[in-house]
Amino acid sequence: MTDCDAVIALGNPFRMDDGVGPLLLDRLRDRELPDVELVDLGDPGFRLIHVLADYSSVVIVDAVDFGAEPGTVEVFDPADTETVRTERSSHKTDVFELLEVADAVEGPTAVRVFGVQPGSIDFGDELTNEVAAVLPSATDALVETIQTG
Amino acid sequence: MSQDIDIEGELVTRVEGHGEIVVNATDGQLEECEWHVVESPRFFESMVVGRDWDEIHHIVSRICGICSVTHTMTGLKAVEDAMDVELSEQDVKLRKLALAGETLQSHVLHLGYLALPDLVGAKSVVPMANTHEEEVKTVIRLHKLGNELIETVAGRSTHAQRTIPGGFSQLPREAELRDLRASLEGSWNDVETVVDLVLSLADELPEFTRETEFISLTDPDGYALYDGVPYSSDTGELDLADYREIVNEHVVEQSTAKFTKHDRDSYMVGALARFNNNYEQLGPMATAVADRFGLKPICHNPYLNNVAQLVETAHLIEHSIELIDSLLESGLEAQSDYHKPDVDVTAGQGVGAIEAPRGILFHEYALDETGTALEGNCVIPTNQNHANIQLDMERLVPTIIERPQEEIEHTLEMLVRAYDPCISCSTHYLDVEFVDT
Repeated sequence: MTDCDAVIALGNPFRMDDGVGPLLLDRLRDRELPDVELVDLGDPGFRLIHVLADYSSVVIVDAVDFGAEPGTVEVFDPADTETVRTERSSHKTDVFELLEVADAVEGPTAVRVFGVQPGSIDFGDELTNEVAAVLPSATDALVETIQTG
Repeated sequence: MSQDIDIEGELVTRVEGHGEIVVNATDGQLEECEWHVVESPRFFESMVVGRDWDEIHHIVSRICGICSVTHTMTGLKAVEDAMDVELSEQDVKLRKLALAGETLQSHVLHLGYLALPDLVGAKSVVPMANTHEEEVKTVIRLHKLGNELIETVAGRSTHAQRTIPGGFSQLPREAELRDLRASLEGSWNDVETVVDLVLSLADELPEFTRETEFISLTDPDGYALYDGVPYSSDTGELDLADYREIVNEHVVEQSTAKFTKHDRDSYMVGALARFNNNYEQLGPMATAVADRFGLKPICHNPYLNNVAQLVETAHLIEHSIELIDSLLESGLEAQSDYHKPDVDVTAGQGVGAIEAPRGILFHEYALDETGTALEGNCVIPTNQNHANIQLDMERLVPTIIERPQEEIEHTLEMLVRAYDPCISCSTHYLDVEFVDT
């Protein structure tokens, strides 16, 4: 059983590894996760706040630069990113600031971020080899994250 | 005491482009005062060349993430003008409803997330979530309501799917429209909350006046947003077919974006222009909001564009309720899903104009006999405001040049933001760096 009611993918598939979130979301469609809604939001800006308000517990899947080797996966609570917030979002509207607003006003009770360290977020519609290589194991890790609530 | 001032903006890559404020003065003597715009060329007008008549609107929708529905519908109007395609009354009402939703969400986004932090003295909306929790919740609800309106009518809130040449591929259900109506009726308390907050902070809006020309659409049948002809506060009604002579796009050294001018060296478009030109056609709730601020036409203070947006927010809710009532009264004429209107593809040249949230928007396309685009031209509102921002700065800076440099910088940033340019859509402030000379 899982308390997670939605997986929200963020990222732009035309910025190489920034598109890892939507790609992992696609792989989840083949898994047995009947009670979990899969939502691909791209780069939603303030709309993220609206969508978060519809769920009680979500996992956000995104490329996150935390200085590790490309392809490294880390699951964390957004509140734990205080000191490195500005470096952690690859999107124009800071995702972590939006999560902070959502948390203060009407966000879900639980948000976890499933982050994948990108190798490159230059223009391009393919992942780097390092990130492409971890897609199968990252999908397994994501399923486990969802199921362990 | 005369001071030296050196303000120079650092170019920041943003989704909608780059903006930079440059002000230099020595011993209180102004030497340089410029609004620099460096928008990366995006080549949309070239991208549509060679594309089919029924995919142009999908391409130009991508010009803007905030006003994509407006670009979609202006592209459709231009193509429909080129091929003499007439829309049913029902489809026009539905387009007006989607447009109202987009302008509503865009105004609320600007007022609530981008402009209000200036007035409450916050760096962004993030700290406001704690200091003004109820107001931020209100802004989020109103923003969401605008998006829901678009989603219901056009399929999704950004890059509409259902609006196609000649009409809609799919219609909303009447039950959905009834739900929307209830949400709109239920939003008046939220509007009141935002009005109360802005009114309590109205003294923070600088008193600055520079007489200028205002250009917008005007329509004898109502406050012009979707329909109408161009109108100048200086010269009256204008011919849409002559839009190139209205905007007179020209290149200036300080900007890769073209500037525009009509009767004067600059003009202003957007909520304040619409308010000034079409005030008498505002709904009663909107007029009541304007009265609370003492806002009357013609207002030449660009900072009050924020208040004009608030007035329009009330009008858009009234307007949307009227449209839904009208649609439900006659009952939606059914059509099958994936409907494709009959369009006789012909060669032609067409122009479309719509009031985008930030002002009058023009699209023009030339099509060959197969409906393939030969040429495209788009004149966006933000470009039409650049010259006005520049002349505002030239008039304003000498009057505040003795103030502390930080205050000058903040006042100018607020001026730029008051125009709600697309460059500030993605973040709250323009990064400004002080340099030594």
